[in-house]
Amino acid sequence: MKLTDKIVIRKIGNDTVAIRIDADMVDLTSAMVLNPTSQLLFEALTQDTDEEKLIELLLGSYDITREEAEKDVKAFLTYLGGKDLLIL
Amino acid sequence: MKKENKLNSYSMQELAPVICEFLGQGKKVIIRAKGNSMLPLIRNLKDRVVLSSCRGEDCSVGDAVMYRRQNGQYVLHRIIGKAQDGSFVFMGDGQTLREEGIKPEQIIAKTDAIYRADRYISCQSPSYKNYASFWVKSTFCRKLYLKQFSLRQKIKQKIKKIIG
Repeated sequence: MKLTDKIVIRKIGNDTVAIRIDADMVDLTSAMVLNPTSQLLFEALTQDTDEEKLIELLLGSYDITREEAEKDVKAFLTYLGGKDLLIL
Repeated sequence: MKKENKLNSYSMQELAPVICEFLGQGKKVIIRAKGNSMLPLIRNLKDRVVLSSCRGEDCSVGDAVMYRRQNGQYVLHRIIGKAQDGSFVFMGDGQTLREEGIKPEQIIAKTDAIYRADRYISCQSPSYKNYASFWVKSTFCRKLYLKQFSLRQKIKQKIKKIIG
């Protein structure tokens, strides 16, 4: 799975922001400011990956339990799926 | 992910690179209005503006336009006049100070539409054109109107405080 090309990541000020791009319009008011965890996951999803690799990525980057990593990744993927931003 | 209202804190300067990037791709860009210079039509943090790329030479009196000042500041104000040398005169709807000598090449984008809260207003609509025309022609008495508007807003706020 990976992100669609409908979403791009840009720097605005000191923040990293995910911006949804439609065919003829970009709504900057609904862009998403990314925290470090979501930024890590977003960047991983720019390449083809899977849920297990994302969980391993969080486990390697943060001092969290496997349960917490699974919960965070599932929630993140559900959010992106709900916005139609994932290609499975 | 952080709450989306953090986006409201970005200045036009910080947004300008991504605005210009997407305008350059031929896309329209929606931004949140920031500041009071375009009152009463466009309200700070409540309303949104739809921008599209344009050539400065194609802009006309009455257009609400985003441009870059010589000092690097990005602003969205209304064209109230055009000089013989082709430069534009600007004034924010909520202001009384003219800004002269803005060259066509300083212009970045034109306002295509406004979302006043959730209400969509096209800049091609008769009501918008009437507003723009009136607002440009009435600059001479704007000070008086804005004082009244400001007084009405202060009274509203006082009443809200009292009622709670």
